[in-house]
Amino acid sequence: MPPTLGQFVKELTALLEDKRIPIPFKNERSWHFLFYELKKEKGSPGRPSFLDELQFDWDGPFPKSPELSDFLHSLHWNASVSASNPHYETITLSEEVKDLWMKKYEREDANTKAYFSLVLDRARKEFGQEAVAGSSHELSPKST
Amino acid sequence: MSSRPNLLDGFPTLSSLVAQIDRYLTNKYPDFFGDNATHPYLPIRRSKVVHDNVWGTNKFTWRELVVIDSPIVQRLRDIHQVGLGFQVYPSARHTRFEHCLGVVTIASRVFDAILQRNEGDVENILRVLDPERAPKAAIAKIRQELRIAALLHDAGHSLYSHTSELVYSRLDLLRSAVREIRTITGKEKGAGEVVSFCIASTSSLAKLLDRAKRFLIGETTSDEYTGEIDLTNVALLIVGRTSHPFLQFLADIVSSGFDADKLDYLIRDAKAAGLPLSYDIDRYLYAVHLEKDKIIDDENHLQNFYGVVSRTPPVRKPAGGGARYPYYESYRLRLPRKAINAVEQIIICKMMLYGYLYHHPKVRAAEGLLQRLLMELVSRWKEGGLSDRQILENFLDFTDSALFSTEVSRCPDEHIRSYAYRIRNRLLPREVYRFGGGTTSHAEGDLLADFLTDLKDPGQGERIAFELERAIGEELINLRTELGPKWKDALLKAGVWLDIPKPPKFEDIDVLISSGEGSSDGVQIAQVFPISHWTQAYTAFRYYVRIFSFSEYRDLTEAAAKTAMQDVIGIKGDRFYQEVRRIRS
Repeated sequence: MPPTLGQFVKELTALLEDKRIPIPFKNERSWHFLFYELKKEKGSPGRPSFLDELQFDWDGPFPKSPELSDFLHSLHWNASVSASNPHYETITLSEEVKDLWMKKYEREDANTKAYFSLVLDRARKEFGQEAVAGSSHELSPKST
Repeated sequence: MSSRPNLLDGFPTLSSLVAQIDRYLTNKYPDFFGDNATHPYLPIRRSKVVHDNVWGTNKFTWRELVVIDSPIVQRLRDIHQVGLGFQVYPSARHTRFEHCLGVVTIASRVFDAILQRNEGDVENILRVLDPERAPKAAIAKIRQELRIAALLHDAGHSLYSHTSELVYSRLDLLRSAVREIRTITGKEKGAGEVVSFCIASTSSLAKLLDRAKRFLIGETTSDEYTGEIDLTNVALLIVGRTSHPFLQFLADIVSSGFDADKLDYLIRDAKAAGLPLSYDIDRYLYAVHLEKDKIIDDENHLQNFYGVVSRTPPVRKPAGGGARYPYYESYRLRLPRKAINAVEQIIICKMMLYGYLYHHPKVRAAEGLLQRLLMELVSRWKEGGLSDRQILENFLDFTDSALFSTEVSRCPDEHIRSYAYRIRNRLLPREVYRFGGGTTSHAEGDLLADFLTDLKDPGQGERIAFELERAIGEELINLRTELGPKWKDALLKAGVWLDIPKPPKFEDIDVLISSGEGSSDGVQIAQVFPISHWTQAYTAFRYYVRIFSFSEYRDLTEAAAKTAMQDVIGIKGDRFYQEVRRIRS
């Protein structure tokens, strides 16, 4: 069965965690940029079909998928480290959750894994770029 | 009255839905909307004051009064604002009617507050967009359109508000209409808003307002707008758009993360329920202002949209200058950082209302029961050959009193009859199990996290919830054969379901707080104060997925649900089930 949005995000976060790439939560827009670009780029083998159906709202400075946003929030409050003590800057999976989702990833076919590899590379750039952009908005100690 | 009939060209569902609602209004209320309509009978005053327990004494114009006095708005007097919330908070009996009047009042207060700060900007915008009208008259026109939109924003509601919306939003007809609105506006909107949009788009409403003009008495006052209004603009505001991106701030007032709807319902619901929650509206109004911002448009939704609705088509700028995609310059509603206290209060107010009222277990139980009753009713209507259009008309007929109607109380379907009896007599289901993101002090937290996140997966959430409910139903029959033969019957007889409420959303507020630099993408509010900490902590500790059951089947359901969850979620250990079971001690 081709991965759904949720399955795809879960396996991607497990891979990001595995590669020690910070997974943004507070600055959500980088997720939306990443998935909008993935939606636009058709033709890669293993590209899941849910991307074609993913809808984005056009009401601000970045395209926003309400479904992706809802899922990220659910991921954060249900699966980030321990919900009793989550971090807010990033999503950090507990070892058990990461292992469970890595096992799911391991069961994917070769094409899907190749596509994940491509997405991982894109995410590394996108999330890094946003972290730099986000830092420019930080308030100076004086202004807070 | 001008109109742009081509807005819905190429959108067959919405076009036919507007035509159908027009026919419905004409047939159902011929004295208001028919060819030989008789209302209004008597001369109409140019304005009246109405007293409100939240916002005090407020003046309404003749147009607003004509709409208020029509069945489109009068039916809202019989739709409770917080659904079945009065089953927990006895005084929460306020209705959508006073809420809509309140939204009119607060929407124009926000508008007037913006004018105090940005009158020159608004006049300049209108000089470009409406050059034939004097700026003051153009301002009066958009203010009147804003107020009518606020008045009609909930006109599409049916009995017990959002509970029935959950049911009719599943009709293929409404799913298609919601998709079309998204294509037109480039934004996601709910089924209720789409029905309200259609009502505002009817010629029935336009004709009623046209006819009423002939009955006006008295001299015009200096603050009265005497020109025409455009009901297309009214309809668009309801779904969060305007005919030009420079006017987008008007849509922010009617339909956005911090709109007049929220500003009204937070205080009104808390006050009616007797909960001591409030926020500083004066501080909000003192600070709210306009700011230039970008609306990007890479899929061309807005280019197509403005091409149809805008008399002065806006310039779509190419990507660059910090924008990754083509964009429109726009004016948006913003609050400065110095007004952060008011924002904090609004967020706290909303979180508390979710915890105390909207997600209270007994409110969820009552509304879940009603939702299942309505789903059974819709199934019966479909089996009887009713089309989605006829079913939607039934929902437009329905107000809260329908729960007491013979159609429900003497329905041949035993479950519909008994569920209505239970709701009326507050014989509500009980929580059997309750779990959420904070329920992690057991060894199989990974499986619970996997299950809870799957429930929010748009690609499989409904299927997984269905599988768990089916497993519980089958196990109920295993334990007690007479509940069968079908698993769905067993669930209905035992009053069992998996309750997955929608958590409160706060992310829209990120763009509300301005940088203080006059023009920006907005500052992430989390960098100003720890909103994420609050809202995520709230969601982890106050948001629950529940399994309900009628009291008389509680123990049986506990056993059946445990077996079902062991199979579907995979959590085997007893400790988890002891931790999440709900027992009265």
